[in-house]
Amino acid sequence: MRIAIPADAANPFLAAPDFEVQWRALLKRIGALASYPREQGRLQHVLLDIDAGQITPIAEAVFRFVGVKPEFLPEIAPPPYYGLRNY
Amino acid sequence: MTAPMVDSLDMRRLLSPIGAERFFAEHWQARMALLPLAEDDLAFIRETVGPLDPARLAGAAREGAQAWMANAFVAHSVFPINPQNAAQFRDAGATLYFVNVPLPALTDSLADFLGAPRRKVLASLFFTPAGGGAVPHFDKNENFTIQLTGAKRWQVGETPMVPETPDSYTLGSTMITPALAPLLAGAQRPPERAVDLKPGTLLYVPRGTVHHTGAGEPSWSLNLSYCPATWLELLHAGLQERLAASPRWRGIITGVGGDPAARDANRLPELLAELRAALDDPKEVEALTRAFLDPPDA
Repeated sequence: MRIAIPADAANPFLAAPDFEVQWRALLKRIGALASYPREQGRLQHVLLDIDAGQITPIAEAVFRFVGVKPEFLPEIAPPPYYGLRNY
Repeated sequence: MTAPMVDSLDMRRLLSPIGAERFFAEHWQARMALLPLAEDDLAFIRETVGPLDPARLAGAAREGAQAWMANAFVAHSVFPINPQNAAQFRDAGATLYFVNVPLPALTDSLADFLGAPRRKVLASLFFTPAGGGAVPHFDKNENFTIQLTGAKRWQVGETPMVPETPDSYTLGSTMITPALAPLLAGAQRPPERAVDLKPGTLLYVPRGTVHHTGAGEPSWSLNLSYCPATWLELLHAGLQERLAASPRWRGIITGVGGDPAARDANRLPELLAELRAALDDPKEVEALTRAFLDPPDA
């Protein structure tokens, strides 16, 4: 999941003093496996392992917290024959 | 349901409300066309497509299947889907796109009618949920859409915005291919017309024609698309195959300028004479065409 959060001048969510704490709580609540902040946290890539029915509820939780719609960039698991053996 | 009386896709019959001659004269690559299908033709098409089951179609789609999702909380996202999760995505409100489902009874008939290579005509299926649709865009394919179930409203340009476009494009996107950029620069968006597709309606949309869609109810549609093969490709592929068999044409370039002694090795004038003779021979031209339409591995 990719979340591009506007700069804090345009986004009051980022200016909240406990933003980091709340953000970490949100990641825990949605079951994030990992997160990769870039550009002072304005660009967040969050790794999730979810099924289709969880996409919108998770997106809604994110939207209500940071005010932007997340985009989902599915990771394609390589087929097993791309392993390191049996070449 | 009784078996349909029709046993093949007869494009002449499908186009009979306007006539095949008028279709090629006025619509082909130039102007959208909206046609009602006879009940038997729709029944044949439905029977050929088979059950509209996401799992089955995800397994059948040769070029994979996708779920497109965009709603009040999700930015436009595309997910590859498979037989195991296709129905889940449908239930989650996604549009499903099954790319290149093998339906030769439909695609070969259309290709043969058009006089186009069979391998270039593909069948794809769309499931659109209520409230789903597509933003304004144009495709690089010639598209024949047949509404199978439900209803969908299309807003379609009367004529192409970019005639004979080399690529698809979503209006407003900054992703523009180098081949498309100069054509798009001066292009004007033609007036659009609203058309309501209901089961048994066929809509022809030429490539390069802007369209956007919205479904008020769940909708399944079949898209028969001709991914264009150009005359340039035909000539290139045909000549490549024919001339590569000749040791003279496989010869290396020598004597284009260079030392006067090397110029004796310049074979280009005689090769061009040979090429001219070949292209003047109707049998040779027919062979070039056949080789492209029906390649040995097709």
